[in-house]
Amino acid sequence: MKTTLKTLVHTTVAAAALLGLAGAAHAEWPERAVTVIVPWSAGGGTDATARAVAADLEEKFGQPFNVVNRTGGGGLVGHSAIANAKPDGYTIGVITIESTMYETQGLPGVNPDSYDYVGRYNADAIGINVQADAGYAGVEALIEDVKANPGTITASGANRGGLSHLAWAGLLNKLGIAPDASIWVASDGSAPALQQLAAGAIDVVSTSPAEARSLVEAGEVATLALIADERSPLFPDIPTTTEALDVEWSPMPFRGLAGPAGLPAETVEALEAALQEICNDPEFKSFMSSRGFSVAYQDSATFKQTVYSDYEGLAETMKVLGLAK
Amino acid sequence: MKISDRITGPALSLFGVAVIVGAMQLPTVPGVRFGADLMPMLVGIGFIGLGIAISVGGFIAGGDQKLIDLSEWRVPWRKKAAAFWTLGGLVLGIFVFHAVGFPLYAFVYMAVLMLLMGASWPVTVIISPTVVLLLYFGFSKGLLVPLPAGLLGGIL
Amino acid sequence: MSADTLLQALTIVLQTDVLLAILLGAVYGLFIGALPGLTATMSTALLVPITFYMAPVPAIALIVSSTAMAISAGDMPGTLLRIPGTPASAAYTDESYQMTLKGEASTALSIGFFFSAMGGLVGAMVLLVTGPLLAKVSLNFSSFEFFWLAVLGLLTCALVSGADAARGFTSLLFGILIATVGLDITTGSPRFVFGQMELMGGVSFIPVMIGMFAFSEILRGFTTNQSGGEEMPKLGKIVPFQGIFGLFRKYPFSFVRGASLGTAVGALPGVGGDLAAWIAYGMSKRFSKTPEKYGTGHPEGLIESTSSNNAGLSSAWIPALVFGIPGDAVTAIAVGVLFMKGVNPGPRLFVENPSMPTAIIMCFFLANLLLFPLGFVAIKLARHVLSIPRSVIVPIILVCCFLGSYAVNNTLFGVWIMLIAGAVGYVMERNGFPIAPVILGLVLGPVLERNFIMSMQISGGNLLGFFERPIAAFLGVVVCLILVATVVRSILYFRRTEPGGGDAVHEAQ
Repeated sequence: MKTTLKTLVHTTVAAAALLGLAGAAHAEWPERAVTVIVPWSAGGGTDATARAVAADLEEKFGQPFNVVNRTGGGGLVGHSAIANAKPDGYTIGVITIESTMYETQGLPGVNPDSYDYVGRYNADAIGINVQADAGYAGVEALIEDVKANPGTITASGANRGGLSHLAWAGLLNKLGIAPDASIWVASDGSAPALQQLAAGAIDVVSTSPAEARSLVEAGEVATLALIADERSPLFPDIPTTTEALDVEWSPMPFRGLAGPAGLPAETVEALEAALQEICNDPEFKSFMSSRGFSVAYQDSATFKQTVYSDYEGLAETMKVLGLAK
Repeated sequence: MKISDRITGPALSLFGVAVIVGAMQLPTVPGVRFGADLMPMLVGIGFIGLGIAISVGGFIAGGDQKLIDLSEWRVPWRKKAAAFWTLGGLVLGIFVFHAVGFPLYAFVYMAVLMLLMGASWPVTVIISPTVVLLLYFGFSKGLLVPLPAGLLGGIL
Repeated sequence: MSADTLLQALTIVLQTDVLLAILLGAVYGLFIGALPGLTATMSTALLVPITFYMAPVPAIALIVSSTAMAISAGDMPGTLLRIPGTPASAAYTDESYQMTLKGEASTALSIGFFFSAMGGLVGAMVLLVTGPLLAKVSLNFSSFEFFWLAVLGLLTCALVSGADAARGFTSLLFGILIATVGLDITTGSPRFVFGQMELMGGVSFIPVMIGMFAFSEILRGFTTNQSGGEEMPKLGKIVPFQGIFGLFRKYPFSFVRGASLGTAVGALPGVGGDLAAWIAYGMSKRFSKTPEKYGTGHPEGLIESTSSNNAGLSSAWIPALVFGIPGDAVTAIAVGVLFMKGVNPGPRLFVENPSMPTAIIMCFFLANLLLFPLGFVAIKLARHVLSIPRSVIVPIILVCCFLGSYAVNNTLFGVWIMLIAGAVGYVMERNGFPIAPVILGLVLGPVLERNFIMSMQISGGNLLGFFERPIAAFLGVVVCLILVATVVRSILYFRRTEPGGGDAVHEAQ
């Protein structure tokens, strides 16, 4: 008897839930928990910022925003998981500049058309780091050295074709130096590359100044310049390559919210407005700067433009380097 | 399944050749002398060498041994069925997981296996749903692993 | 290290919330580690969202104590059910499982907890005194040194794989081959992915480990060949920590060697923890008076590798704290949490705020001390695990294996890997190919390849470049000497015995 009653209750609940789902189309998004896919591993910069954004979104919308790490393949696995999700607004993700590069590299599954863009919340330039006792007065001296002794200066920071590589090789290319004048040593991210630099096995690491900060403080590493056209508010003392070398080249790795192409317009608008508020929130700002990340908000349309212009600019560089397929 | 070294050895060497062929298909990048194919090449060469060593050992050991020996599977049907379900039930589960959901699938998988392994009906009926629900709630609610609730979504 | 700093650090740690975090973290770690198929790395990753809402010291304390506990408790399913909790413990899982089959589960479990705790305490002690110095030394290691260390780690495979080296190396190569699957970092091109998107991310060692050890053991349980007999293995007397001091007196050098090796190797970012236990096990066998007993349930190697395991755990934090270079997933997460809480890892942390790193090391101390009482309880409870009938525990293990492989990346792909690895592992073991080297190859394969390629790119393909740096030259010579010694030994061995004499060993499996 008791069990029949229970079954009855459960069936009613189930039916009610089904009705609720059916009604969801008319009700306001979000009706239930939203999944936020992060293509990079837990504890990294993208993960940390994504979790901060997700926590604030949760507060604003009153529904859980669950961060799920889908890692591997240099971010490709997670990026394609976002692109292939059902565009119902209940799966979104944080995308990074790598999403603009896969197609040119000949990796299938993701290109800028795969997404609907919500907005960008962070962008930080890549720095040029050398050993502190290498004796370079500035980035000009390093470039002179590369020019004078082709094939002797080794650089690292990511895999071959990773953004670190493109930023450094692209800079050399813009300066009229053959990009392979500096040998690229492929590494698995910036941490092993910085280790190599500190141990004196290589000469240059191109990575964000935030990642190199601890070693810079230790007096092991010096950041010569940022590959950018304007100085970073977080590191106002580091010159840019544009002012030092008079060159137009600023590939900015970004982090932004996006969902699979075909998201409902209301969802994108709601998220866009929320993201803008978050980026103006002093607490979020101070969190970001404590980790060495700047807050650089762009709305949906501008972010989309940025993505497409990065897509084209990086494709050009990859062709020059023979990395495009 | 015990396979004679007279099969294993040559098979390993052949596998090594296949690995090398596979490595040679990998795209080379101009300007990169030490690339993606180096390590698989070395591994392939290693397989060929070890395959030869194992074949030699197999032929020295003599030819009275069966090439493929399945005698360890001469067991009662229940055990065969349990082994089959252990593998087949998982394969099945992979296909129905998202539609059926974790709790229901895990319950069926566990209950069938318990019965095949000789647990009594009452024990099965009590233990399998309890364990599955504990794991389900512990993981989906406590540790935020996204496990699909599936058919039981309205109830759990 | 002034007394002042110590006192300050003590006041930071002796707060209710910190102590509570350590205790809760330990219980949580014990639980996760003891569940078959769940690992220490996973326990930390699952903690991240929770640490977001905590103050810095309790957050770190939570991570510290849960990993220390999960790694030690991970030896329990390894010992009782042959499911290793970390790639490091895969080095000695078979040894401790053999002890269980001999009815010495109590001793094996006690060794696990006792020497883990002791190793951890030694590691934390060394760190308190030499932390920044150790970090400075570790910073001198480049890809050349890492390459030689990886080779050294792979050579221990020859020692753990018993009499038939050819089969051991076949397993090892198999692991290295699996590790090459996915996007290659040198050229960014996919390798052996056969068009599968999920394979681009490579094959994670967790489902492979679960499949090869646990799943294959379950399959074997259905055959006439099962290792444990029809019933679960007998427990023997369960008296936690009984006779442990006797073992401590009998093998003091094993403990000292293991703990110091763990502390030293653990401080190297990226390879530390996993490598230490393998090298320790191999070294223990090399120096032992009774190497022939290894692999049959002999406590000596177990003591050495399990001490090094936990000692290495705490030193892995040193490069992370001093230079912000995280060595593994656990410390990477911890560095992220620290940054987020406004505590920036770096040498300035040691100068400006030395009580902070000291407090973190003290958390290690407390967590490892907690291993004694919690280990006691856990061993007591272990009795119940083995008294559950097979028909109940095997299905539970399988569901846990499913969950563990799924939770790696929250996809069913991990379950596929587990399933295939299980079937392959079963056939391999049946034919005398050892399983542990596969895991070794899988974990060290990427380390070996990346550092090899990096070094070749730096030296322009000149192999002499591998001997140019002093530490690299030293390590390289050691590796070459071991290789020569091994070859000479096996030639002498074959001269004394007839060829094929090693067959008896793998027949017995």
